[in-house]
Amino acid sequence: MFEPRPQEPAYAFIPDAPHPETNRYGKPIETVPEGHALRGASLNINGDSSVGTNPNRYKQHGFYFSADNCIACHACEAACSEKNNLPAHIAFRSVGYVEGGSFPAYARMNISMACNHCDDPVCLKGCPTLAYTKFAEYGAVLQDPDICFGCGYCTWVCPYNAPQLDPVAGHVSKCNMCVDRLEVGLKPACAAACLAGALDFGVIETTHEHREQLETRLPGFPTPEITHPNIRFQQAKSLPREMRRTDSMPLRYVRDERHANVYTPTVAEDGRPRQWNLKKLRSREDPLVIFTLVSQAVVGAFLVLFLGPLFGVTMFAHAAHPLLHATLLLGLLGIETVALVLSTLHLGRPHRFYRAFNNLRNSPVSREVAGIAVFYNLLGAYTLFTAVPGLFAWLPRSLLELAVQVSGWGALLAGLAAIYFMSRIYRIPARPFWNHWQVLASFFGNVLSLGALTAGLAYLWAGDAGAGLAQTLALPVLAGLLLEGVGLAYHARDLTRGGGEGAASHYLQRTDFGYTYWARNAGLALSALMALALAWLGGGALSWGLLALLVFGTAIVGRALFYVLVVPTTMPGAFFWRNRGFERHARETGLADLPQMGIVPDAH
Amino acid sequence: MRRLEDLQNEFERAVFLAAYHSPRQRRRRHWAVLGLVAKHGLRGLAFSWPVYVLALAAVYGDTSHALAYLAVLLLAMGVSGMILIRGVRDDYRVRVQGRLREKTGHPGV
Repeated sequence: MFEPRPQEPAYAFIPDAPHPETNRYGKPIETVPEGHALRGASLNINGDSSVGTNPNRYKQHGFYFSADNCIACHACEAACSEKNNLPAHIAFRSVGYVEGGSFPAYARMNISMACNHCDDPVCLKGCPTLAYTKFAEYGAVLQDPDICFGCGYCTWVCPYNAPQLDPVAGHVSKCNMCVDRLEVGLKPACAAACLAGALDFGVIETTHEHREQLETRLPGFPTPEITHPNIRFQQAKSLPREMRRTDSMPLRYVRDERHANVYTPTVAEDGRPRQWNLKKLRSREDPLVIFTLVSQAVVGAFLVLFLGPLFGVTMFAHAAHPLLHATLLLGLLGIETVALVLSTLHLGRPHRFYRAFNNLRNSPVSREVAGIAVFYNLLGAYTLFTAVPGLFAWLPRSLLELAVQVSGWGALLAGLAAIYFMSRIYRIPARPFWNHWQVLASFFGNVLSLGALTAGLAYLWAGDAGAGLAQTLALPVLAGLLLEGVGLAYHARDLTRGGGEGAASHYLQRTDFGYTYWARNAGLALSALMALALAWLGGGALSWGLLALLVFGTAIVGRALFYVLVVPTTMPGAFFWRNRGFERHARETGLADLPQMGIVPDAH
Repeated sequence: MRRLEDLQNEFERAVFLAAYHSPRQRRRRHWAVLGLVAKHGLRGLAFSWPVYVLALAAVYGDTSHALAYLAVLLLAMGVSGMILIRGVRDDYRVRVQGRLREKTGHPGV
């Protein structure tokens, strides 16, 4: 059990204050009722099996932050890092700020933020490995770094930047509410270390000494509707109508005149020029660019091969071109293997890949991985049965045919389900640029266009295509491109209308990556025109190859843009800390080589 | 299972280390490593077997593509091997290293 110091000051202990039965979201503050099986269990902290004496052990606790008092001394950050023995590049709690007005009426509002141990923790639902648990004790959301395999999905879904992906250790870790201190009635280290009375802690919805407000909104704080966070704010001093971020995000916060404390994120258009920035298309997610595109192309090509004969394109039947059919299937298996290898090595701990299946009930990542794994295995079985039938000469012909049909239909359904769940991964409220049906349209558009192109390339290049193959296959290509194009048009419109972080992403799309964005759009339009011409007039291997080059190039640029443009709803950073622009500057100038800067290479 | 890290007393540590370095314990650790290799290898194979279809195709099928198939196969085997070694090493560190193994002990899940 944690040992309080001999003369622990009174302010370090959690105050006992009256609280309502339920919180503002209607959830009981008592996490489990009297007599519940979960009561009385030990948290087994560091192997200690004793049970804490805190009388409010089974009540939801939370942080209280008074922005009026915070002076950004970073004592909370330091206390947290010391308590948890964190390396320089990881901070469970961080202090950022927004500023507004101009001299002499300049105002700065500091924000200290860690995990908010939400009522509806999206990290817990999203984690494919089940590394997260919401405990009945204090309502703490705890994460086990030993279970985590470092996919980083929780860092995508959390609106508050609470989970920290450690690229050196290869796993995520986060604020643990200092539950060992809570067990003996002490506040977490950060709240106990606060010099200015800005950060406090206790049972949620209680009004502490020197506090009046229990707000859930603050300029720069994401909407509480996403996760129902257990943090309450006080911000009584008047702020300017508009508050700006000091990090590199093109966002500002404008007061909603109808609600005094509500500031709406709005794009900070600063007249930046339109650029290509091709080098900045590279990101930590590069393996995912390849994995998603290759998987969509392979599922699409298999769709064409398997369904083609059923729709009267007899050329794709195995009997028509046995060697080519088998070669293409084996080729699909080979490139999907490369894609899977890349996606596995993208993990912080690739050797724990099998934990991706742990959370099929909630996590779209688990479902996607399961879908792709089933597809890959059934594609392997289908390939084995059709490409190397000599191995199964001992089987009755009808049984072999049944095995071919079962594995084929199974692979088809699993592949389509995998692509659907792949799109669900990106429907994240904390990332408005992704949270749009365009992702689904784009992914299935790519299944059609890239799949048909891949199958067509193999047949046309081998010279085994009959007349009219290009005409036939140009139709799904065209349909895929149109589906993606329509999705992109609605996406741009909805981002602009929706405002906030989504509009900020679109602003970056039109400026920092403006030429690249328009080149991608032009490539998409040109591809659609070429596909239309091929569907109309037909064509040979050369024209098909040119179309494939254009479509694949456009798809790679488009997918890279998809990953680099996203502006999350995370808390504002500071001029240096959590500032992407500063990180870039530090890398360019060599500052990042100093370990105390807390910047590590973006690799595991 | 007794662990070296749990022992504070120098005498107990010396007794532990004498037992830890005994031929019997060495043999048990070797068996544990074999068990871990089998566990991780079989689990890996359950997911990666389709890639070995490429080997069959290289042998039985069109030889003009054999080199391409074998290249992908070698890449996949290399990565599988790397993942296998990391998994075994990780489990060995957590479950075998610095512990006295009992006869019925198994390397764990």
